[in-house]
Amino acid sequence: MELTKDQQKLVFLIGSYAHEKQTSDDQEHWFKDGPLLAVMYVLTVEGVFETYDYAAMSILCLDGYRRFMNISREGVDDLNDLREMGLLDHLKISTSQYGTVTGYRLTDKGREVLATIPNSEREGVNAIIRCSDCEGELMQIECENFERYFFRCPVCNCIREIRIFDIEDVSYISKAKFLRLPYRNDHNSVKEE
Amino acid sequence: MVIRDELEEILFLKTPSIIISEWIPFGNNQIAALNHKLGSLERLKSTLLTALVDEFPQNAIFESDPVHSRIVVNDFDMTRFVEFVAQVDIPEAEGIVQEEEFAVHISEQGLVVFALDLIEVDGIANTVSLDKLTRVNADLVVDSSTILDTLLTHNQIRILDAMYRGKSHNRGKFIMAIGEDIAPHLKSASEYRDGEDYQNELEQIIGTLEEAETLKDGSFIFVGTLGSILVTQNLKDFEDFVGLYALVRALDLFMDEYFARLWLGWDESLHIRRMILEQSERDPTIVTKAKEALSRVGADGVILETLKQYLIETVCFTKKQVNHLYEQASPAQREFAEKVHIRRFFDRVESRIDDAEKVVEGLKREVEGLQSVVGTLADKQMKRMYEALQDSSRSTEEVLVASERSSHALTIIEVIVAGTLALAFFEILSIMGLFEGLFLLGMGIVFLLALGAWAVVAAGLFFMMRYLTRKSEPHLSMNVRFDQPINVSQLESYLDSRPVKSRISKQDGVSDVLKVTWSETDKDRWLGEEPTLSITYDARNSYLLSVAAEFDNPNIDRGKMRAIINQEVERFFLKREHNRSCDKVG
Repeated sequence: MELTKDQQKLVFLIGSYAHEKQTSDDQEHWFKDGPLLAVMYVLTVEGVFETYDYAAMSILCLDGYRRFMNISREGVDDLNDLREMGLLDHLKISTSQYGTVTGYRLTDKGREVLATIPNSEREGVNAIIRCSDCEGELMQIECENFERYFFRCPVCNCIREIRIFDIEDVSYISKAKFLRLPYRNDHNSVKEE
Repeated sequence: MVIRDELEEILFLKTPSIIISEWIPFGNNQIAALNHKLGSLERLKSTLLTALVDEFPQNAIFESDPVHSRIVVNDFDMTRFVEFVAQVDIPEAEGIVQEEEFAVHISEQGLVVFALDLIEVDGIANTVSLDKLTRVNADLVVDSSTILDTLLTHNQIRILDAMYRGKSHNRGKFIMAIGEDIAPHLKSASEYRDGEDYQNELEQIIGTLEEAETLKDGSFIFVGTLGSILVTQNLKDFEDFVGLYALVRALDLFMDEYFARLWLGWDESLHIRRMILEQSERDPTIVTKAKEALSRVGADGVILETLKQYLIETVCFTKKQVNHLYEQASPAQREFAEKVHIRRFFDRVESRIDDAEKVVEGLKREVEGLQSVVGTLADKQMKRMYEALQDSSRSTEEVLVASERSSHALTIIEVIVAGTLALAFFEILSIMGLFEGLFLLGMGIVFLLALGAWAVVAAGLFFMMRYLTRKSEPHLSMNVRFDQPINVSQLESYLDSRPVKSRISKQDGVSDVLKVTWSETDKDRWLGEEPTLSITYDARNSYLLSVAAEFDNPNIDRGKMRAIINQEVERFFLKREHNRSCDKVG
């Protein structure tokens, strides 16, 4: 089983935030899909994920509202590949808003792979997810009203915005297209039946 | 805003067109109102468009920000449909040029279709990468909502607000991208289902890829959870079915959101139930809170039920439409309809609406049940309050009896004190030798004189106390209720010029009620009186509630005094709508 560089970085990213319980009082930690997609977007924009790009997609957020977000389909595809390889577990739970949230975590096999990931692949990810001012403290990913994601350092409290909801504009020119819709021409015949 | 990453563009659509469809509750009357609004019957069928609402229809002039949308009616039936061209020219970020024009078709069944040909994207004509197409789609979805929101009636806006909880701009829409060709052009549609790059590119537009089919004429159709891509050079052959497909998918998407909203209604009612059960014993405001929450859920429930009626009508009509089109379908059309599963989607929508009936009915019953629980709780609280009031009355009565006893005791003490005072006075006079002659007449006369002095001093004290008590109470109180909007800043400047004695503020989540008291000194203005005035107003909502006045003289003319209060209020701070256009008329 050979992982691409981006898949290795993805394994490292998930391993940094999600872990199994370490003491009897501890609980298992799962990395939620929303924040995971947000960090994947930052890593894509910063060029850490070399083969990913992103596109605007309409997503039903956990508050029940639909929003356009910058999503990397390549990243989502790699998440599925890692699950197929048995490196990732994923758990779906209900939310109070009748939606579902998915959590990701490394399997035993995934943790074995994590131990073999070279520093060269870890460094790029660490540069984004760790605070440069606080000896590499792991930044928390927080969400404000499901409209804004940001990194927050738990030590120095500094904040870095994740602009996953900012959809870029492109220039375009369009012309009206008239369709032959069934209601327009055959309306009367149907109505009279 | 420029694209922040280097895009890996893999798939390209040639001669691209976009169809965006959604379902909005419409009916014959709303289509008629829309046709009137668009001026469909007028000779010139073109108008500018804005979301501005005229708050003062009686005025001659209204003001607006620059208007960026123009519409031109292309075709219409007064009560059945309207088709128009919308031109949107919203200023964009530097370096971005968007010349947006699309056709909008709205039918009485609620099918709303936005359709356009993409002439050029990022300076490249007739070809667009799917990566860039996602950005165009995001822009079109938002702009199409903006256009439509300016055309809807207040009733429709209220329905959409209830459905999307005030954020109807974010509603889901079905997107269909159509191209005459796709590059690279593989042998069959299924070859794009590679689980890698091609599929990823397609899924950016259509969500999860469900079907990838090749039609007999070589057309490709990709069906996804949020949209579809049709690659064909023969669109005219199955255009009717494309419209029907857009409606059915829009309805299916709407049903997803409708059910999500219904579950939220259930969630809210569950929350209210918990709130009542857990807090009814300790929170005295629980009845008010629960009533407010229930009235909100109940009102939304009524709207969701109305929506269900609209949906039933749409499905009923569309069923006839589906059957009618299938009967007349050419082999190519039939093949298209089968590959995109129009009937399957339609049956799904139909059964979901049947299912919704039970859920909506259940929600209605739940709200009714909770209203009855709240009613019982209110009765319980009322009973408890009545008991507390009875206890309080009993205590007050006991206090009054004790106070009466004290009052009697005080009177006795007063009399004794008066006697002591009178006797002391009498003694002083005796020492001064004033009564020497009287002593000769006998001690009885002296004693009677002493008693007389006692009575005089006691009566003097009694009348002085009565005078002081009366003086401390006002003789006339007036309370004038206004309940009218005011200019708060004017009122506050008015109060700044008054010798204010006290300000009492009472705030809650919706209001900030202030009671300000002062004494007037200008006797000329107040009919020779110096009244104490109290004004009660809601500073948050700019509302004057009442003005109270207290006078020493109980015989003043109340009618005149009320007129003075009215005059004062109107002159200084009552808010009036100035009809500028009528100022000089007559």
